[in-house]
Amino acid sequence: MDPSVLALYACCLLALAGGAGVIVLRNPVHAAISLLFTMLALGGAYAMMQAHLLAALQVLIYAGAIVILIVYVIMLLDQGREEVPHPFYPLGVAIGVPLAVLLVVISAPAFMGASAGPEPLITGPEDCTNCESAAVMVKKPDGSLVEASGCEDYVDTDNDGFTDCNDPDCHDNQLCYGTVRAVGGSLLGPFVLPFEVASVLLLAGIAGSILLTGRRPKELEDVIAGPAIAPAPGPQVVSGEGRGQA
Amino acid sequence: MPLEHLLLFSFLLFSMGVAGVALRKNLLVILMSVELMLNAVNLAFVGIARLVGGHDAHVMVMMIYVVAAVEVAIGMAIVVNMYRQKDTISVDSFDALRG
Repeated sequence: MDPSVLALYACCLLALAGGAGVIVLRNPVHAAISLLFTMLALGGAYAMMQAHLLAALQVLIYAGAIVILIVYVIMLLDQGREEVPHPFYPLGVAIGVPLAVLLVVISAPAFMGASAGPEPLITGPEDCTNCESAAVMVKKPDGSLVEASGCEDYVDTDNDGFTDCNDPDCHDNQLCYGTVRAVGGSLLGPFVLPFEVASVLLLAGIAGSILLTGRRPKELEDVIAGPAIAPAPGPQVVSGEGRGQA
Repeated sequence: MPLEHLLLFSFLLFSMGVAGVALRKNLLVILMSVELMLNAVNLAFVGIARLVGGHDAHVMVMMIYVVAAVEVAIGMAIVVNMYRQKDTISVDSFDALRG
């Protein structure tokens, strides 16, 4: 088997192990380190699937920022370990176990490839006949559109089992798949509106977290609360305490 | 790697996230489990993008990154506030709505 496929399997298994750690380990710090392992393993998996930019972003944003933020909050709160709930709630078990079994029964055929539903997506050379219906217009570097389809175009450039026979970029731009240039072209081209909306979302996140956690000076508190009909009753508690509390 | 295996991994990771949200009592661990679910979806996105081609799913994954970052920032702020109120972040302590 190709080493990159083995690496992909290894990364996915590591991610699963990390995920199991998150929900099993009792100490929140250990759970956070487990989450870090999951994020790094997924970054490796993305790299194996030629999503280079996403692999870098996964490590930078998830492993580098989000997990660190979580660890900081764990450090701030300084709470002890938690008991994993041990006798399980009977009602929860009565509802959850049949639902889980049902979910597995429904979804197992899809994973086994024995689904009665639509044909699975292309999985290998033997399925190449499916490529006939997968004709796509491929954009050449000079901007002209060419129709590419069928088995003669079947290429598995990196032997990772993911055929790229209807990969719009595979013929001329295989080397550029998943790079900053390619993804950035999408991001600032057809997806420029979501890109801009994301900045508004980030701004709202910044404002929200500052408002939620910041200890505001007293005079600002009055401004935010709006014009007070009556002066605030009693001496103010230390600012930040008891806010929003009934 | 056939797509089915990748989707199976993604499915298992998502299930772990659901189980974490349902079973754990620590608010921080619940937020981490939500992150697991988001990452499971990302994995499926990237795998399908590899198969189908194009970069639309990559852009979608980046949007999920933004949402996850904002969610963690706001979520941590809320957790800190809740801890200030009750000196604990066990979800059992927050039953004001009698859920």
